Amino acid sequence: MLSRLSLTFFLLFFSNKVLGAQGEGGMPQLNPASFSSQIFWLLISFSILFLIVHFFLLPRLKKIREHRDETINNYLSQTQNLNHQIDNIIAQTDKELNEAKTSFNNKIKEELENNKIIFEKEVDLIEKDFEKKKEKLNHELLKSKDSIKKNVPKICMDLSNHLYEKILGEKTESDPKEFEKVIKDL
Amino acid sequence: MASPLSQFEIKTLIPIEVFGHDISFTNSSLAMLITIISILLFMIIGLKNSNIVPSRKQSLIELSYEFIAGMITDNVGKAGMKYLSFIFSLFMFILVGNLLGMFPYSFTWTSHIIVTFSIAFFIFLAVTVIAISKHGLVKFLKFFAPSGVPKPMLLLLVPIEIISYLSRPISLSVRLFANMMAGHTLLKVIGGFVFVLGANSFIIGGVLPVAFLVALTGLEIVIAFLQAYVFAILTCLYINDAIHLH
Repeated sequence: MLSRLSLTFFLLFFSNKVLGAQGEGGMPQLNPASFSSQIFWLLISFSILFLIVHFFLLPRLKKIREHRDETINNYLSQTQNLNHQIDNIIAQTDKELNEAKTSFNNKIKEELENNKIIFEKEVDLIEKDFEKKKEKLNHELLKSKDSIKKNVPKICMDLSNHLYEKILGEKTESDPKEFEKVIKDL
Repeated sequence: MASPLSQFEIKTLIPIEVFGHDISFTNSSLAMLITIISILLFMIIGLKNSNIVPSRKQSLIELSYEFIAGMITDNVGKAGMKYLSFIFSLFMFILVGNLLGMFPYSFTWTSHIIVTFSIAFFIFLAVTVIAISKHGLVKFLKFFAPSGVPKPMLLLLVPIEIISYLSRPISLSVRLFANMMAGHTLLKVIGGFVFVLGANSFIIGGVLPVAFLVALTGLEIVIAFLQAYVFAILTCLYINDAIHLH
């Protein structure tokens, strides 16, 4: 920077002698004849540039950037909404699932209890039936026992007569009453 | 061979005179018009069929817009955004003016002190008007006497502050003008070496200056951008001073 400035000032002060040897008059930058024209055209060109940039180009650029920001923000808010909705749906699903689980468990419990009651009823019925049948059977057994008891002297007599006949080869006729007496004595 | 300074000569293309004032259309005026036409074409083509998803050309414009907007928000704050159009136009005007000046046989209007000084002086006036209208004349004058300074010191400090304030347009304009002029003069001088050394040593001697010239051209392109940036950022700082008055 310093070397550039020193070169400039060197040219500024000595250009007439060193570089303007061809009679051009040194640094053209210091010729005031062109100042008005340069200032005028600078004013015109910079004003045109500034006005077009300020009123047409930058507003258009800003509009696009705003539109972009708006779109991005819209997408972001939409995404947030969707996320929120998803969270809600997940929460709702979880809630419904839990409710369904609870209701399912309750129903199972209810059914189990119902089945238990039905089972107990059935068991009761079966037991009652069994008791009935048992009683009936006992009764029948006693009856049969009695009938067997009654028939024992006759059967014994028949059996002894038959044995007698088989051993001695002759028939015998016993008195059933005597047989009964013998058995009773036994 | 022409003088290295002949490239800065103003040549009248269409002589115009209004009320005794010469406002002829010159090569400088032509360069300025080419500059604004280039900027406007660049922007109009870039913004044509502009969309939310930008094309390459639109991205380039948005990049420059963001660059300037960032420069303003960093140095002035949100209050400076209303000067965006001006800073944007100024930066693009100087940048494209500097870059177009790099083309051979073109004209660098930023290498003319009267042009850079006019811009800088306008900025100086505008900034002063903004400061006075925003804070009033008394508060503005207090700007030259920082608070908390002992009274005897003010005798020394106030003139320094005033001189530094008044020298703003000079420093701003001379910086741009000097850089552009020195750079182009240097390129022309080295270019002269290429011919002189090449002619006296069967072309071989011209190779080194050509390499140097290529390197310098690259450096000048960087300086063209840098000077436009410095001009714009200093304008931002002056606007910041006007708005906030330290």
